[in-house]
Amino acid sequence: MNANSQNPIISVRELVAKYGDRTVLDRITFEVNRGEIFIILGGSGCGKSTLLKYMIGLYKPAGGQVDIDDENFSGADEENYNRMLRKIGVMYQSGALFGSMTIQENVRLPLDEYTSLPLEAKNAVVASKLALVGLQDSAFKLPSELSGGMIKRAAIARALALNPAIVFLDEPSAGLDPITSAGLDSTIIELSRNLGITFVIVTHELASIYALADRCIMLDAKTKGIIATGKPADLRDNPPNDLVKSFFHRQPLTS
Amino acid sequence: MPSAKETASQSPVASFEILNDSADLLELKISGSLNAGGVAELWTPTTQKIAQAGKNIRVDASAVNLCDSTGAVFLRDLQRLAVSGGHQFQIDNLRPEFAKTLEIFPIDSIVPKKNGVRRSPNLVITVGEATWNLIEDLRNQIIFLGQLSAALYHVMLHPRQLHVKKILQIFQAAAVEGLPIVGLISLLTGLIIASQSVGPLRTYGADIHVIYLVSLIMFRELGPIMTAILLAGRTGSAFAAEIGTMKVNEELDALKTMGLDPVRFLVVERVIAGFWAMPFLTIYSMLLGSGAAFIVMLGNGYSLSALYVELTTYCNVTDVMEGMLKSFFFGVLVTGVGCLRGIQTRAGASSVGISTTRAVVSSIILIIASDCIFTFISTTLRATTVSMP
Ligand SMILES: Nc1ncnc2c1ncn2[C@@H]1O[C@H](COP(=O)(O)OP(=O)(O)O)[C@@H](O)[C@H]1O
Ligand SMILES: [Mg+2]
Repeated sequence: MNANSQNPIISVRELVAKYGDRTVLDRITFEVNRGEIFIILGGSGCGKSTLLKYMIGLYKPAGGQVDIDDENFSGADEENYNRMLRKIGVMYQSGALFGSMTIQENVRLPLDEYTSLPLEAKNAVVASKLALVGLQDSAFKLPSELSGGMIKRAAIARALALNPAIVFLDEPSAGLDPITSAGLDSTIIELSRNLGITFVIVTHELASIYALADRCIMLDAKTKGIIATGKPADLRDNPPNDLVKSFFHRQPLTS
Repeated sequence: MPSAKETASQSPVASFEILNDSADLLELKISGSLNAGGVAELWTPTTQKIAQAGKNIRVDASAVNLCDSTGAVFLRDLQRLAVSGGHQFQIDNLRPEFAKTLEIFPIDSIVPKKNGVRRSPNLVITVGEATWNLIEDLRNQIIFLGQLSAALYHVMLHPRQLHVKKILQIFQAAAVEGLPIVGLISLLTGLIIASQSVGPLRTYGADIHVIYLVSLIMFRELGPIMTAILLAGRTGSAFAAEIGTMKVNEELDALKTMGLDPVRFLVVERVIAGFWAMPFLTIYSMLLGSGAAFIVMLGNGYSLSALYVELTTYCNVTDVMEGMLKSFFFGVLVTGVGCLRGIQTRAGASSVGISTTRAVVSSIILIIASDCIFTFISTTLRATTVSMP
């Protein structure tokens, strides 16, 4: 899109992720380019959500580091970490909306905290973000009054509230019907192409993967590392190993 | 790349000037960065200007060097203001990449839709709802009592279905781990009542009766009541929070669809544990409360044997039995109410908090109400069987 499209916006180097003594990811390295839609694939329980949590700095890596915009993010001190957090928006797998606030208040919370916009301006911004995910009619409902898919969409609207440069989505289309899911995909593409937002997405939906991904990586629980990198169509046509092949062709593993 | 820096709010980043204010056209020139910072400065003055003007609007955006989605919402709002007043609106010289951003946010997308806004209720509705809730709650408590009895009956017929280990775990948490706090409060209460009543009784030369006074209070009333209130705070609330969280996570629904009755699966063991935990703690409370009176009187120079004679002369086993009877009842009451409030949890984290509060408050109210009934019955019985001194 512009001159520095070439240098990566996120670079993960030799990252080691552990829960207690148990290593979930072992020395993984990859880069996410500016403005691209980057997808993380892998079987259930292989560490996709874990990787996302390390990338957004919720946990300190046991080894290696995560850089955002060429700045050390995983090892940043509190002040720098908080400053860099403004560049990212996150949608957690469960949505993680605040149950005591309406959808409008949930999406407005970051605006209340970080901008000096007048209330009506904030409400207009919130309405525009909710319109992006098709939830304009639910602004005054509580999260408990929404379906699972609507909660996810509201959570995406909240992740977008501060116009972050990078948006992390953990399984955005899980639990959505195909039409809503396709609508969400085209919203993501629009946001990426028109606003230059970089997306890092965990998903299993083959249709979404083909529609969205500029590039993807596939994780594996056994090797605790990346077993494939590339464009989804390439991985489908020339799978580097059986696991990738069975994933893209939706076959059970035969071994 | 507009997105990377767009939320930064530094020194004045955006401004507007009026190029031309004729009879039917207001021309504005907007310059600078239309991001959260710039829009925060411009929003109020420009919207006011346009609302007051009440004529066609033309915006020159040639000097806009950044326009993120907040900026797009801002421009759309200016348009909405003009159009809703029946006037024309036009933006000129907006850079093509910003025009694209504007396209993502059509004009109707920025208007908060008002449907579903909660109206603040009036007094009549509030009072009516509160009354109805009270009746409804009473009904639910009776239904729950029925379900609990049925479940207990079922367990009596099929004792193998009972998870004894689970009961022991709950008993451990509720009773054994509750000993220190129950002990502390009982000891303190005994000490306070004893040391404060020595003086008044001494004026009649009756200070030895402090033992009688404190022991009777602890055996019949305060032992079971204080223990029950502590159990409500420690254990009833924990049950409400635990079951309430399960409810929020749809675990109770999962139990139901597996054909498992939540009352039988979750409540029975807790109530049985509570049934035994309360008397266990109550005896301890009675001992320490009455013991505290002994400590005070020993400190006042009485001999242990004199105090013992005083105790056995005036207090008897029926006093202790009365307290113990209450304690069994309170144990079931407190744990049952805790579980019921947990099951009644609605959705969301805050409703777990509400359930916990409700568990403690209803328990305390019910403890006091039922204690009044107990005391009334026992006084009546005593009056009819023994002639009061
Ligand atoms: N908080 C945690 N504590 C311990 N182990 C965890 C925790 N979260 C996840 N795990 C384990 O780490 C592995 C990866 O989990 P996760 O990243 O959630 O997988 P997924 O790829 O399905 O998102 C799983 O085996 C899971 O059991
Ligand atoms: Mg996951």
